[in-house]
Amino acid sequence: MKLRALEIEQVRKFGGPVRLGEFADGINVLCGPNEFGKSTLLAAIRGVLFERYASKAESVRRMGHARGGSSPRIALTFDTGRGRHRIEKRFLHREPYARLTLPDGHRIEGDHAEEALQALLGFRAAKQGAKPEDAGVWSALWVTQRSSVEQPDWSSEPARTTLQACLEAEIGAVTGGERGQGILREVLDGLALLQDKRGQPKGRLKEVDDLLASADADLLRLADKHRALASDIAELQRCGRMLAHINDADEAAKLDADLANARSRRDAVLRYEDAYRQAEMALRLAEAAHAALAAEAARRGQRRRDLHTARLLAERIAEADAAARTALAAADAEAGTAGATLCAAERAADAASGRLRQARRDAELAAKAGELAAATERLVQAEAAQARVNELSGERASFGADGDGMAAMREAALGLAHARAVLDAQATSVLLDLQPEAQGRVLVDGAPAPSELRAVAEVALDIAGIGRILIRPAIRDRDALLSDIAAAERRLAAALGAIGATDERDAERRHVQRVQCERRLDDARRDLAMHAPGDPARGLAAGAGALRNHVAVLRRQLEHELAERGMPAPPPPTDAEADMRAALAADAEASAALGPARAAVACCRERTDRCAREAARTAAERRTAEAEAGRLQREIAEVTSGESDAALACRETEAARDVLAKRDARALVERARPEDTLAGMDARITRLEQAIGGRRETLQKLQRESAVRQSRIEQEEASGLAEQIAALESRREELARERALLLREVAVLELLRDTLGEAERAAKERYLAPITRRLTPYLQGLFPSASVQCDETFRISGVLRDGAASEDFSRLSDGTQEQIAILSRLAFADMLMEGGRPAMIILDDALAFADRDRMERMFDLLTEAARRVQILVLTCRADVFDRLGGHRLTLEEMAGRDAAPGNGRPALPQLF
Amino acid sequence: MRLLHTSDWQIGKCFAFLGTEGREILRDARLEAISRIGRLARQGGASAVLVAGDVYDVATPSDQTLRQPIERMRAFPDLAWHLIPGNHDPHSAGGPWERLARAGLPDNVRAHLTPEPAPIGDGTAWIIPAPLTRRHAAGDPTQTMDAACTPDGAIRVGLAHGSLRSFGSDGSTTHNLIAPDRAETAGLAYLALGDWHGAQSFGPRSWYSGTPEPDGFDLGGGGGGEVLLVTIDGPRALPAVERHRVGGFLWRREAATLHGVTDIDVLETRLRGLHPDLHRVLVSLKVEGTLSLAGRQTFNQRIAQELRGALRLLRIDDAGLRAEPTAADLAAIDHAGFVRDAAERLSAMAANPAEPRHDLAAAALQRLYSLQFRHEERAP
Repeated sequence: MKLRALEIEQVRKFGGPVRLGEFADGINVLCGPNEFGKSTLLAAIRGVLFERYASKAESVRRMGHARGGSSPRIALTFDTGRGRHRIEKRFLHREPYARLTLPDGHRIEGDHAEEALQALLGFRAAKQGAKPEDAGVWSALWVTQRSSVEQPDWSSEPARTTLQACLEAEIGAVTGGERGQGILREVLDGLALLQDKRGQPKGRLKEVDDLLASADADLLRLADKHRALASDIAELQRCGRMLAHINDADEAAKLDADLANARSRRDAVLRYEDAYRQAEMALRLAEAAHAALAAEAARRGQRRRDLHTARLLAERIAEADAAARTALAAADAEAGTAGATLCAAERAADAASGRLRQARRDAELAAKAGELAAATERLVQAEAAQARVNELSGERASFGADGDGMAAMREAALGLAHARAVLDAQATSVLLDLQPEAQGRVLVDGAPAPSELRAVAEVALDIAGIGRILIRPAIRDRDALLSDIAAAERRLAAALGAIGATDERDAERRHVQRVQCERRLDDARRDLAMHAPGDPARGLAAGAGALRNHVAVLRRQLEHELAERGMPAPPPPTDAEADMRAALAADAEASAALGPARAAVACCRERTDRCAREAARTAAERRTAEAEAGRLQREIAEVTSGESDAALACRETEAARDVLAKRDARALVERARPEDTLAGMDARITRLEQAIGGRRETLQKLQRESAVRQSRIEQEEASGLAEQIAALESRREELARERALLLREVAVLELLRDTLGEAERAAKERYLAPITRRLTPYLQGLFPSASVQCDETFRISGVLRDGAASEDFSRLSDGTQEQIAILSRLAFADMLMEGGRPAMIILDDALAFADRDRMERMFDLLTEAARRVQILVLTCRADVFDRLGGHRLTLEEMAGRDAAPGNGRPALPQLF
Repeated sequence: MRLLHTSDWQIGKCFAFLGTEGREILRDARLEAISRIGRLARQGGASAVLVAGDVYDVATPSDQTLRQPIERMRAFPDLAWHLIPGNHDPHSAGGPWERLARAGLPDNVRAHLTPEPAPIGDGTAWIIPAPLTRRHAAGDPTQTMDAACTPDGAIRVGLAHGSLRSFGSDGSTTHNLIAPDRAETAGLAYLALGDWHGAQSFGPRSWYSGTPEPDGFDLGGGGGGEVLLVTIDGPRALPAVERHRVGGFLWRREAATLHGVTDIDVLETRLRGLHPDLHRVLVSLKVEGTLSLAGRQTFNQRIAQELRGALRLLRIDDAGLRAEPTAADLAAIDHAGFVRDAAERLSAMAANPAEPRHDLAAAALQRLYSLQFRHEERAP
């Protein structure tokens, strides 16, 4: 389809009839600024085609003129493969109409016109206003404002049918879609019964798996029980054999007899051991009695030897005691002598110390007298310096011309000179060059005439013989200047008065004298400071007054000390110093003598102590030795008084004989010793008793064990273990068979699913091939080597660029999405036209996101596509779209045909 | 004298593959067979029933299983039942025979647990038993029969359980082997044998009675379900043996080659004609041949579904039944579109023997065919 012209009247902002056209083949560009009405023109094209002429739907009312109450009229002329058509509609009119003029000039009116138009362009009748989905392929091919990024929507009828018809015309009938999906769903449903999304068993398959696992566990359990049963049976048989053995009566009787025999032999051993113990005991008693007597005899001998030794020791100790006493007396005498020597030395030292203290006080007194004399001398010089300072201070004050006064005076003098100079600058200068003979004949204000006269006031020039000449200088503000001079003179006079000067020269002279006086004053102050300096360490302030006080204090202290010592005058320093040196020497000598005397006394005391301790020790030892000798003597006397030594010797001989007799008796008993030992017999008895007891215990244990095993065997037998195992194994086989069948079912369904899926993908690829084949060249014009993937709704789902993985379309940039969406429309338009269907492209405010390079490429691609399909571009960006070329559309006013009364005709908006 | 020879009752045998109901029915059927044997013995004039081993299926049956056959035999007090342990229920410590000995047996039931000969009835005949004391005996359990003492003129009847050497033994079996000439060497008038489940004779005097109630498809001999009524007129007279069917269930192994719906019709007719009461028939069916998807659909519907419902058991081995989709099959799936494409892919995979999943592909194709039909049925 190719648009040729559009006429509108009373549509939105357009009142009077205007005409857009003539449209060319290929690219048509309508450039206009914002609010030019481009979207209105596009709405008019949509309206005249898709809105029913009698409709009063909202979408139709929105087409009305902005002022309301209008009835829009729109006419569109277009070409199809059958020739030129013209459709004209008037909406919202009391007599709305639709008129379709066919290529042969025949005109169809009203609903017939609407139906013929629908059949011609392939859209659906709108019931409540035309909606995008009613417009068929046009809605997909025409890009409205703000929708250029979106892909064309082919999902609704009749767009989808139209496109499918084109595809089927190209690739043949495509069937199997819905039925195939149904079958695939059934396969997936079947599969979902047996496995979950992760391929894990589910439903019956999981049940069977669980049952198999349970059966295996049960089989293991039963096998364990079966093994336990077999073990029980074997053990029961073993118990039976052991019971038969234990129940053997002969063996039991033999054990009893052996036990009785062992016990009898053990009694014999016990009897022998008793007799031997008694003989042994008697022998031990006899030996003990003999040993006691022998010991007593030995003790007596030892005691006598001890007495002798004690006596010898006492004698030796008495001698040592006497020697110690002698040494003690000698030490005491020596200590007395040393004490007297020390007393004499101490007295001499005390005397030397007294003399030294006296000498020190004399030296201090002499020093204080010296200090007083020096201070007194400095005080005299300080007071002289203080008097000079006072005198110079008074002299300085008499000059008056201090720095400030001089500065004020100089400033006042300067001001006066300045005032005078100002007046003088305006003074009338009169030069008098008089002949020498004329000197004196000429008087100025009665005085001889100067060579130059600067008149500031009236001046009388008297020339003798000639007359008087009055000179009146004309000075502006002369009075004010004179007043300034008078004020300056007053300030100068005041300044001079302040410093006591008569004039400036006097002031300068006074100032020089004052400066000289200040220098002398500084010298006097330095002298004062030198003679009466401050001494913060002694609390002495600077100045003559402080020094005077200090001298008074020193004098009082000296007088006090002299009075205290009863001295009329302080000693001369030289005498005091000599006394001091003599006292120091005497004191050192006395102190040196004191040390040896003290050492001698200490040494004597130590020796006296040592001798005293030795004497005490020897006295104590002598007493102990004498006591020991006495004790031994008393014991010997006591023992021999009870039993004599001879009687004791007799008793010892008798006891030795008794020992020999007891030893013979023990040997006699030992000869009857039995062969058995008590330990051996005890072990045999224990062993036999344990054997007999063990048989009983074993018997009971075996009986209990047999009963337990028998009970357990019967219990397990009753449950039919082998039967259970056989049943379970059989059940397990059945489950395994079922599992194999279910797994085969899963495998069959998976294969079916996969095969259907692969076939479906291949079918889709074939089905969409015509679209991708047409789109690819466009796309490669933008992205070399790129290709696209479409889904079954004919939308681009992915883009492959530069061999990389497929990029999801929705993840591409807005600009790229928009460009690809426009290119896809070109491709669809190509396909529709090749399929004999009408198609054209409208781009309203598109390519908003393209950069310069992309824009250039897109222009190339649009130009290339425009060789086959008409493209209408509406844009407000004239500068950019200038490079697109194409045919520029113009909007022209038409002569009014059905202009509504009262509707003003605004001037046509300006195109770029 | 007249005896009834039976063996291999294997009471307590479990038939897990039949499900709970079928399992119980077949277990009960084995007990019912005992009653039928008793009634047959009475009718046939036999005074004793010889059970040649394997009364029980396992060595440690439950108490209930242990008592059930005893109580069935107690119900025939006029008959003497002579039992020996077999390889399934050997006389060992803790085994069923020890338990029965502890619990006590009815007077008319005698368990021969040692090889001691014992008189049958009035002593005209003496039974020489060969009880097994372990599942796998290394030697010939009947070896002692040769030297067994019986009164002069007595009819010697051997009762043993095991495989006759060279009689069906494949060489791998080395236990419980019985000398083939045992009847002659031991002077037996008749050797009643157990272990084989199908009735067979080996010579005029040595007979396997087989199990009275079949328990499998490949029992050999008569296929099971029989007992032998034996008439012996004298110590050296040849026994007259009558085979009687007592089994309640028919176990059949069937095979068919299918190439079309007609073959399926024939097979169905044949299987439905096996027994008036198909619920007493168990069939192991092996099918081979080539069927179209439509044919296989028919087979699945009429044989695998409908007939399976009629039979007690239908086990189908269809590994040899190949699917060969026809153009009509594929057209029935779809004329075009991806489902048709998938069908062709599966068909190619199934037809390629080198493809490891060709059998899965055949099954998947068949499934696709049936799903397509189901989908169409559901579609409005």
